[in-house]
Amino acid sequence: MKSYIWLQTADGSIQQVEEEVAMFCPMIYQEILQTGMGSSKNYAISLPQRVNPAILSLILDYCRFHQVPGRSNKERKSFDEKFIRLETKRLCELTSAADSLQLKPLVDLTSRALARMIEGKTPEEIRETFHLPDDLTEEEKLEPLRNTADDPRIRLLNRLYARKRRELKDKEKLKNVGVEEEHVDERSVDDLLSFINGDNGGNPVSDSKVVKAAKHKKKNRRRKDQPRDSSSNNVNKNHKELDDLSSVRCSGEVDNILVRSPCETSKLKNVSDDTFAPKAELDPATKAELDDSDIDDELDPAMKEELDREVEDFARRLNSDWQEILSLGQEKKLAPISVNGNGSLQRYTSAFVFGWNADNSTIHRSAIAHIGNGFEKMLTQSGC
Amino acid sequence: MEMQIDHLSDIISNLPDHVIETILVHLPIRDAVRTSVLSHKWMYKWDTIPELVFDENSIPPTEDGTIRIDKLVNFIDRVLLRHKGPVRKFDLSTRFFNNSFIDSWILFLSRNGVKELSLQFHYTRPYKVPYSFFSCQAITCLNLSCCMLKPPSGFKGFSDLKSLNLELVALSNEVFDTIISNCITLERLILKKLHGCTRLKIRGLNLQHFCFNGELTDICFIDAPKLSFVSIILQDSLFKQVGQGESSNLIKVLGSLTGLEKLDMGCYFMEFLAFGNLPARLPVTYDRLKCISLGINFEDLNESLVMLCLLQSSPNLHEIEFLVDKGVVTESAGDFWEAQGHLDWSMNHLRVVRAYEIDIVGAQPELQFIKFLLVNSPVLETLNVTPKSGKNIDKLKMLEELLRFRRASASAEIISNRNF
Repeated sequence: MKSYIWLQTADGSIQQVEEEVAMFCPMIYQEILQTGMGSSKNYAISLPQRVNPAILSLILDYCRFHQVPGRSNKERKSFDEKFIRLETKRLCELTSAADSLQLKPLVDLTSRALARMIEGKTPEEIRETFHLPDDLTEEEKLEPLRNTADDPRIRLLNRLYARKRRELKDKEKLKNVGVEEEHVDERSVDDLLSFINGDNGGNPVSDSKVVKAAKHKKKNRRRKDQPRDSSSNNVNKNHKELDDLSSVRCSGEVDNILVRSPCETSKLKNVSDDTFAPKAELDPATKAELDDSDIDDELDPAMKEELDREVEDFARRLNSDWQEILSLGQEKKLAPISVNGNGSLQRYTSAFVFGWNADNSTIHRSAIAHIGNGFEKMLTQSGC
Repeated sequence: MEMQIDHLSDIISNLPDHVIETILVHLPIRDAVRTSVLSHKWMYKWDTIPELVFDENSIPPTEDGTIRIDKLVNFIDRVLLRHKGPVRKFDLSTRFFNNSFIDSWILFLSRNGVKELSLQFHYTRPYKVPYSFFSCQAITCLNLSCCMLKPPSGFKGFSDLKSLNLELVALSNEVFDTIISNCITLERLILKKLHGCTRLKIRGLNLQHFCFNGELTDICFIDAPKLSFVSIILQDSLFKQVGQGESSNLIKVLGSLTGLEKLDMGCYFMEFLAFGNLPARLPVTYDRLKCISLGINFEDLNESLVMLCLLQSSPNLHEIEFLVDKGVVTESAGDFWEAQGHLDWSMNHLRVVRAYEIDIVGAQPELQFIKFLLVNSPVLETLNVTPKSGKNIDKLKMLEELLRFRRASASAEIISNRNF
């Protein structure tokens, strides 16, 4: 004689289920063992709130199939594949319910299905699929490192850099109309910015080279800040030095930087990356901290005006003290990076995360000092 | 028509954290990291994923298909920096670099309780693992390729190790001993092309699966009652240069493996077993041994003796697969198999025989062996013969020869395959 278990869902409705099917769920199994409930309608097992009747019947279908011992792996796989062809909302509910019933194989199955819906998609597509709110501010989108203080000064610097980057790009476009790809540009600018931010990778051997390139780079930047017309020469030199820089940076540690590799990533991934770059959406881990060219475009014009003004002001202050700061920075004692016994390096994080002076008036000096510091630290970093 | 008030509600972000982690774990690391720009709730969800798997696809290649290694290193650095909580699994697989960037990552992992560690390099120089590697005491599953192990003097092994897979790894005999001997939990051991470790003393109360491919001078199994799968492919006969003494390799290796279910021996290993003083019989029977696969030189008497010993001690053998090797002959087998004739014990469970590289020209000893098998296996179902490659053997002639042999099993099918 078949025995049945009685289950009650959160909405009050009670269902009768074959015992072996119900026992396939660990949570129900535990309940029966520990409390003896479920044997009659009056003593139905209360299921967790996340399990509604429709989802429960789905779960029971799953249990009914899988609890039969004789099935082959192929059969089970085939069933699973058909089983998870559900719409997204259902799939999420199912995951939640399966988790509350501790039905781990089903949680795994649904998680994989959900992961497939996320993999390779752009953030917009993912938000669309799961109805996620687009509630990140531009700063949050571009901040890859956790910063406890949402510092307006950091924001300003970010905008400054974003603008510089755009200018560089524009100059580049002027120089090579349509020939040079945007991507190449990005990379060089990335290098510029990450170099300033003090990306790990300084090479003691080529310190002098680095210093020289850095100097030139700074000079270039200053020149650009003043009249907007910069000769294409500057841009070229800038890029060339950046390229030298990146090879200098890496050649000490790595034998083959650019290596041919079969393009295994799907076209789709590359495309989504391209669509990423110009927008404010940020891939925080793979792009440099400040790699968003068009964040400004996302703000409304009034805000933009004000911010532009702030940025101008900031830039002016920066530039006026630049030469002074440069000499200051270089006279400072070079702080060595300690290397502990295991041969590992202390990680170097962005200059801007270091302490800022609370006092607004001295902001630009301390900012520059810190940038200067960052530079020195970068230069003295021992190679790996 | 129902008003779907909440059809636009966020349905996924409120799943419990461990469920979100399960979802993120099934994503490639890039996609997992990118979820941080989806919405406010998702900003830090990926920070705690317990499994980090990096390879060259973790960053997008540039337009011309090249991989920027500095970008990959950068990426991994940032991911590790942001990561919160324990790291259960760390996988790194790359062809392009293996220098000391990785040292700091291993230090990070050793401080975050890594359990499954896999470093797969394909580089010309092996990666010398840092000392912090040896303090990853929580490791249960270790997979190294192209590395060098030189532990500090206080190293006592990984006590929780369950699975060890070393390929192209340089380590000394002592280091290997240290790792194995203090590790009761070891279940799987796979060693391929080791450098500097040629004398193996395998012990493992829980060891079930052992695989070796490379060069050895000596190997013995001590206390491995649960060992059910053994596969040893010996690439060289270095062992001959070492003096043998009184012992027999056959006993040293197989003498205690009573739990054997599948035995796979290749290249020079039969020669290795045949080295030393051969016993008349093995001291144990392999009741669970169902499947033997080996490469054997039938012209050598000692190897044939080893084969006979094995067959005698494996009453429940289901399947034999052998490859005819030609090699150095210490003592000619002559008509050894012919002389065995009809045994007083028969192979009552042998159902499948697969023979490779069979030659029918001349009085080939392998044909005698096949004859021997046919006569002594009453339930044989299939004899599958592949003729010697490189020679143009008349398949028909071979089949004729084989069909002439007397068979104990009426239902034995003799199938011949093409040359390779």
